[in-house]
Amino acid sequence: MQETYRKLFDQVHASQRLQKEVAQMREQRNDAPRRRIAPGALLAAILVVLVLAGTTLAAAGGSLGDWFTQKWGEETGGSMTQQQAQVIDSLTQKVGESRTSGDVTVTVDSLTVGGDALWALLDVEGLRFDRSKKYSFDRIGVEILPDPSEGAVGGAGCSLGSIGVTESGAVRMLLEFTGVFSTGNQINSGGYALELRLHDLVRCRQGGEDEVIAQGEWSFSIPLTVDSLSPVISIESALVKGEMLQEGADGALEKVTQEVELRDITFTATGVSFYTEESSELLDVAAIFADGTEVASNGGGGSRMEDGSWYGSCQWPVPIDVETVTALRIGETEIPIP
Amino acid sequence: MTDQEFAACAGQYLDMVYRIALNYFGPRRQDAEDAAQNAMLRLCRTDAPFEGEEHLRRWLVRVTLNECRRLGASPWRRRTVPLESCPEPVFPDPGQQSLFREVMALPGKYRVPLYLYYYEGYSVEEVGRLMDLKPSTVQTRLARGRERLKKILTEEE
Repeated sequence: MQETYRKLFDQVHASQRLQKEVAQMREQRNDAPRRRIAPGALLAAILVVLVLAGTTLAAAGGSLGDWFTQKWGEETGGSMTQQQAQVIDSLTQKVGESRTSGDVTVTVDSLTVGGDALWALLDVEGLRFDRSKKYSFDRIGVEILPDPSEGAVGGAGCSLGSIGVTESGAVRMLLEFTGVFSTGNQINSGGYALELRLHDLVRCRQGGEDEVIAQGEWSFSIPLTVDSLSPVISIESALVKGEMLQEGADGALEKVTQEVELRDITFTATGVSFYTEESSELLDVAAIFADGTEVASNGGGGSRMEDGSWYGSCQWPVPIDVETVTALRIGETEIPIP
Repeated sequence: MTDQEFAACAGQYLDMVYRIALNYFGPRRQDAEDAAQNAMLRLCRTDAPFEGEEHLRRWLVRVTLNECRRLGASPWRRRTVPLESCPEPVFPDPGQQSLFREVMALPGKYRVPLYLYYYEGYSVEEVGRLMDLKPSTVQTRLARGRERLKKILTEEE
């Protein structure tokens, strides 16, 4: 058994990309500080990722606004205010573009676009869909063009899954995209486009391989319009306390509370970003509203810069009205919003 | 560490670092690559004096496991999934390909001790020290992992 096991792992090697990254580490360390392309710098990459969206749209045929209203309730336990709904409306653009391949037509109904996050509502028609099943695509390609990370440190993540079947029998799907752009570029500032490529419609099977129910390719190129109603709040710097993982003398990892300085904090309707000298991967971020409601960030990403510092960004699960937020809590520290 | 020394270390240990991270993260190969890269970056930047080859190897195992834990614990990783596909290792023998998938499908808590014990040749006590586990816990995980592995190998035959 040991021999078989050893032979198996004898054939497992670091990828060429990883080897190249490691080979370049030394010269980058010796160079003047510059931004390094991290392993997760992916904006130009085609993804092969499938994650089902958690929130199912209760009202069949509902809009992106309806989905966000439900999501808001799940996240906060309360109802969304009208002002909050207006902010989401202001970030949402109607698209209505369709592509057909074989019997299946895919329509991008609408998009909600923030600085580093994007949600798209898709309708898939042409087959008889089972309401008790989940659907998605076998391969999904997402690109924002031109590349907001400009070839520098960056990263992105994406999920796509069905959230319900409409009364007319179309499957509604939600695409969620988030990016880490250490350049500070905002994809809702105008001039960017979403390139979306979907390959082979699948019926999802839990614990097994998804079943391809329609082969084909559906491609879209959709300009992202300028968001005019989402202010950006900038905070020069803040000292925050948070739990970090540190190696003790014996090499064991332990959680310690540590103070970290964050610089150039940018707070928008869709997320928070900052630069820091220390790794701050354990920092949780939440927006606190005047009525006490809190919305916690929905994960995010961080990139180590060439000079050893970090860029971090995290996104809200729903776009929020930054003007009604009274404080941000980062780690254990509350930062009042002026 | 000089550039030459680092290049030699990378040549010798990068595969080990990657395999440990791969066993830690299983199907999350992109996370394994990130953790492996972070561990090598730590080596690149360390001023730690190594007393010999074994000291360096042990240090790297430890640092790799710590980087895996850091990545695994990060709330930033909770939802986002990297866009970049990270291919599965390719084996010339289809039987080995399917065996690799079965091994990667073992619970994570069994994969790392099995790797350190069977491949890297560490003793139960050493695996315990490297993973901050009691030897009895390592023993149990190894026994259960071995049992499952045996079943997989029997089925493969």
